[in-house]
Amino acid sequence: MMSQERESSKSTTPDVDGELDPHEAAALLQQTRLRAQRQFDVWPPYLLFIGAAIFLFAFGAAWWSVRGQSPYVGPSGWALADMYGGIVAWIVAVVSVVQRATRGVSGRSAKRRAYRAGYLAIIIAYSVFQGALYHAGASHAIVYGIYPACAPWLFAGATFLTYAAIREEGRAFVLGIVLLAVGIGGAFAGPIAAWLVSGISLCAVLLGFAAVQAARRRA
Amino acid sequence: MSTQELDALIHVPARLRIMATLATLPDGDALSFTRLQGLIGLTPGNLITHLRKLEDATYIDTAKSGNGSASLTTIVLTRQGRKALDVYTAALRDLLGGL
Repeated sequence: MMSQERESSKSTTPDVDGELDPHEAAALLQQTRLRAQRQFDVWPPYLLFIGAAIFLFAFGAAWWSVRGQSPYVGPSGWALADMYGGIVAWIVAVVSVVQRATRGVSGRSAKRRAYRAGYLAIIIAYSVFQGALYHAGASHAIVYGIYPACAPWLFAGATFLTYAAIREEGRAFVLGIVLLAVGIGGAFAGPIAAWLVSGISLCAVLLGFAAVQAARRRA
Repeated sequence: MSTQELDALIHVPARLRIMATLATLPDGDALSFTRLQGLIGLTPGNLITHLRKLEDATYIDTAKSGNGSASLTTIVLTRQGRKALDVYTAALRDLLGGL
């Protein structure tokens, strides 16, 4: 935000009640903003890097377990355990980071966070719908392939687009479109490749998001 | 432009840090006293003194809820406070540009 014209010979943490040189003030202002942004950031770059690795490994394991299947049966038990275990671990990490970042913060953001519990409804709907597909006689390629590999991104993409429409937020709009494209692209790739497409695409999305977050911190 | 044109209320290290920290939050969000104290690193008494000065100038609003040990004090940057910080920041930028 503000570039230092020249380095002050004085400390950048002056006495709390002392006089301020303008250069010290500028440095202190920038330092304080940066520190506060980091403290309140619910999506630190490291969390996104971890998520990228987890999703790539989780979906990659699912793909590895189904490659060559003919007829398609679905991911093996170990692959599913690996996938869901990784995703649950990441969700726990995300919740922990959010709780730490938002500790002591109240107001409109806190109310919005309460509504985000509605995401649980999405997860439940996703699972119930999968059961409905199974009971309707849909093939394994659909129930245990295309649907679990691709449907989450359609749900997520729709969620982000709805959020973007309400908040008039460009980044959420772009992310929503990208997630829809990932879901649709994976579906067209077929039940086996859908896992690989989803894993690689989601890894790329999270890495891109991490890069954006890192750039914002440096700005 | 000289330093005298900078808002004297904000142009103090502790209060500048308080204002800058609160301004990082979205409009309408408040921060607990405890969290703010942890971020700024002031003693409770010192922080209260500075908060009172900012509140008297209507740069911040404070609210207290609950009773006894469960009481919670929250601080929010007012619209006037955000504007004052923006004006201060612009004046500082102009001053540094002129030095």
